Amino acid sequence: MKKIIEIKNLTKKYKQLTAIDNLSFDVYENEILGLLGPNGSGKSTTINSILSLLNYDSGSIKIFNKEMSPEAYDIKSKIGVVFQDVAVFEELTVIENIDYFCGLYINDKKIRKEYVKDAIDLVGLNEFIKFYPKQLSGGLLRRLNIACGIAHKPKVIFLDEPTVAVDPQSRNSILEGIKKLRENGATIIYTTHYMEEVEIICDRIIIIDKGKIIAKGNKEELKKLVNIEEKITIELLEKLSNVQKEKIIKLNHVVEFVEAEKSIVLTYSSGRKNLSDLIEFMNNSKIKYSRIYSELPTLNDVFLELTGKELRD
Amino acid sequence: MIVFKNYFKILNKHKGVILLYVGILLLFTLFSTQSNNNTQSFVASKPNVAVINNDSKTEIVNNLYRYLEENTDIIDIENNDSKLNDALFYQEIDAIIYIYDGYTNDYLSNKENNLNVKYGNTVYSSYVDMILKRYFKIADIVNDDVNSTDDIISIINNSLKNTTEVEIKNTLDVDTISKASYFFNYANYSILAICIYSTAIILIRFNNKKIKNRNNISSKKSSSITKELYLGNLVFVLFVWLFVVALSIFINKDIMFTINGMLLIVNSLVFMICALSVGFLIGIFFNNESAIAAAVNIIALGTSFICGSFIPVEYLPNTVVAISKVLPSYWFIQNNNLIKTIEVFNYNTIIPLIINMFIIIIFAFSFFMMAVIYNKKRIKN
Repeated sequence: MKKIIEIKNLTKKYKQLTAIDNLSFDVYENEILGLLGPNGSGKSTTINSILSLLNYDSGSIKIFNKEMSPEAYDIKSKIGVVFQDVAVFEELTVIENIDYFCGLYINDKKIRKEYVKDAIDLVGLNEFIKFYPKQLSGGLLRRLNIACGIAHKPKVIFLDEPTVAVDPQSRNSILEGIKKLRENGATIIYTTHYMEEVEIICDRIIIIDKGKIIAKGNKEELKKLVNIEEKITIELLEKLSNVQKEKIIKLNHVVEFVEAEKSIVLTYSSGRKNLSDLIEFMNNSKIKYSRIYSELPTLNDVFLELTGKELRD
Repeated sequence: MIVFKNYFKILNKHKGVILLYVGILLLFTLFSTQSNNNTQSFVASKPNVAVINNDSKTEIVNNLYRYLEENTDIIDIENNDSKLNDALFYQEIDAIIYIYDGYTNDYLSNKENNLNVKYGNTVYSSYVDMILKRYFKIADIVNDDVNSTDDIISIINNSLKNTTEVEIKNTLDVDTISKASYFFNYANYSILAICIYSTAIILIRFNNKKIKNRNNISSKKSSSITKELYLGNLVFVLFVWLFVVALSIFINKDIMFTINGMLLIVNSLVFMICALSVGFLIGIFFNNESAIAAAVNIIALGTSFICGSFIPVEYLPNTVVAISKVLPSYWFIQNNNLIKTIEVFNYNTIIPLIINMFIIIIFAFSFFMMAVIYNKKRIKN
């Protein structure tokens, strides 16, 4: 696969603090790369360094095989950025805002008009083109923010938490839009706090903590990194005796036993037929239960295991 | 030119505030056309005098009294030294004329007949002296040649009737040029308010970190964005200036096409550039709209008050005038006031205007430099 972004040994220091520590990774053409990390992990510093909004201390950043710099306008023309904070002009309508930001890249009025219309279609703001930002809901404002960042049809798009504080309807619309962008040939670098979004749209994920990459790969590869096979939850109809609890803990592959008021959660490190074995044990031990179900580990479990923090921390 | 285009779209949304300042200018204009009617016809003013007649009421005395009645306002004060002196001291009267006992006889017999006159400390006191001298110069000459009292009185009165028409030739329409000058003095507020508000509001929008980041990651060069913003400012300020000039022509008509009028226009253009630089400085220093509104009020209104826009500097305390000298508005208003007085244009009359304009330009340059240096420092940080 063709490398679009090549980052080698990127280091950025703020006096004593090392915000990015010798970071190296590549982004390939037409992939959606998820950049994950707790707050203060160095995600935004990494993105700002890539975009030349920040000076870095050492390392190299190549985009489209060319060195990125503040004056690399030919590279910049192919990049689109959607910042976490909504960055639009209050005095301009939806269509005027998109036209302005698209106009920073596209001079031809006719082409720009077409591109602006495509962007509006993509984010589903057709009914709101004459609205001012103040008149839009949080979700619609986010969609406008995205449209402003991608209207010029960039080949590489940086999306920094584009779905923060939006309603489910807008979130789905935004995620659909991102998928469409990729279908249209864009390469996307995506940061988010929402694991489920990463699971849905990202091809590859890089987890950053304290300025270092602590894991990278696709979802399956990351899940393999943690010592969890599955989690089984049993909703009980009666309380367990201590003997019964001890027997359950001693079952094969059980690494963790968590008891709640009317349920227990068992974490298994491996095993292919844990659920059937457990059901058999429950029946044989005549423990009455209402429901029993199994969950595969999520990226959140992976994240928690690797960083020791919840992503929303 | 997307930034340039956007500049005016943003300003268009703030037209309410800008129109408010234009409205204030129109209000001031209306005010300036209603007031400041400098008249060019003069009426002789009359001094107040007290006349104490210790002589008999002879025809000679009566004639002098009638003359004084015509040329002064005779105040009726009791013949009491203390009261008369008080009236003189408190400037209720400008002089006391004592007609001594035997004055008529002395006059008719060609004896020394000087009246005793006590003058006060007012500017009109010397005028009383002039009025009396005029009468007695004629009366003394007539007395030498004529014997009949009636003839004497008749000749004196006929001679006093002779007047000379004096016409003050003036090449300058002082009244209209004064109005034009006042118009530009009042315009100080609106020019400053509009320039500061519009320039600062645009800078705040474009210096917003989020917008700036978006502009910086775009393929449009930062220098090109800055150039378009500067061009937008310049075009807008020129538009405002043209509006002010058009308004001044509408109100003051042909006088604006005289050299004095043209100088007022040039002076306003120089000041407009300075106002633009103040706007730049404010826009760089402040980052929210409320602060801009406060700055506009403090700077535009404050300078208008202390630099002589609303109240002539002659009426301001010396300390205020001293402070106002460190503000460009003072020099702008000084020039307006100077221009309305110039009748002959030569090196000596023009050079003070040029010096004042140069001072305004130095202010403008300093403000621009301060804005640039502060901005560079901020970016570096």
